[in-house]
Amino acid sequence: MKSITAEDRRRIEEGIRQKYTKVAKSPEGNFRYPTGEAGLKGQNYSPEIFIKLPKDILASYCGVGNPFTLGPINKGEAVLDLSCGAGVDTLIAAIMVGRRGRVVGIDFTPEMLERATENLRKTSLDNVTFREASAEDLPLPDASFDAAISNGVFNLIPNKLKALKEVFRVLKPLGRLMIADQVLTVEPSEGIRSMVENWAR
Amino acid sequence: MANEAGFVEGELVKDTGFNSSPVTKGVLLRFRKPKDAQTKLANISSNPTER
Repeated sequence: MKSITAEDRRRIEEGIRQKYTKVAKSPEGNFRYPTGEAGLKGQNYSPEIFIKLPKDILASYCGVGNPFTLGPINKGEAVLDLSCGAGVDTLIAAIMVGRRGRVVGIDFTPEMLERATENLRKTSLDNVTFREASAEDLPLPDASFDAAISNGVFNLIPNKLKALKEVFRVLKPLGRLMIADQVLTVEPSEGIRSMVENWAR
Repeated sequence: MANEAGFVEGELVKDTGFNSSPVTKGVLLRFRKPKDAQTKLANISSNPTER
């Protein structure tokens, strides 16, 4: 497979930032993935969130699945939301872990973090932190989380193994990684592999 | 790849029912860090070809 050069990486990351900057401002109608309240219902998110989170927070959801269907998030736990976007899954995890728990959402798109912070301000949750960071280089201590979630993220990460090793590092022993994502069902042609422009499509 | 990172008990639990294109499929994946895992990895690769 063709190597990813530093320039390729820069273009991939810039393409992702540009796309998700637009999504942060207006996920509705700008994205082919499940979005908003309809997207959450389509992916079988718990009815509880439609009561506990304001409609304009729900409207900012964009994802590809529901990582919470992969297992419980328990009261008092520490959870990491990788590339949290507008933070809807982060806030849902924060409700689940309660006041004794904590949730950290990381993302490398400033506009997404701005939206996430804005969403957090609309709630009374006090157990959430958002930080600007890449999933490939987590500014977080070893063994500090009980669970990590990600929703439509790994397909975008240039160095997936590095990101997986970082998540492994910050999880506690017996920690869970729960991923909703899109995977290729065919071997991509060389033409598609080489098109860095396709990365964030 | 998750095994290479140290995860165990990897499982493709189910499809999401949403496919973003004719050649992709939405999936839900679950992995666990072993109980006796070392928290510091000695050899985080800097190989840019790893994906």
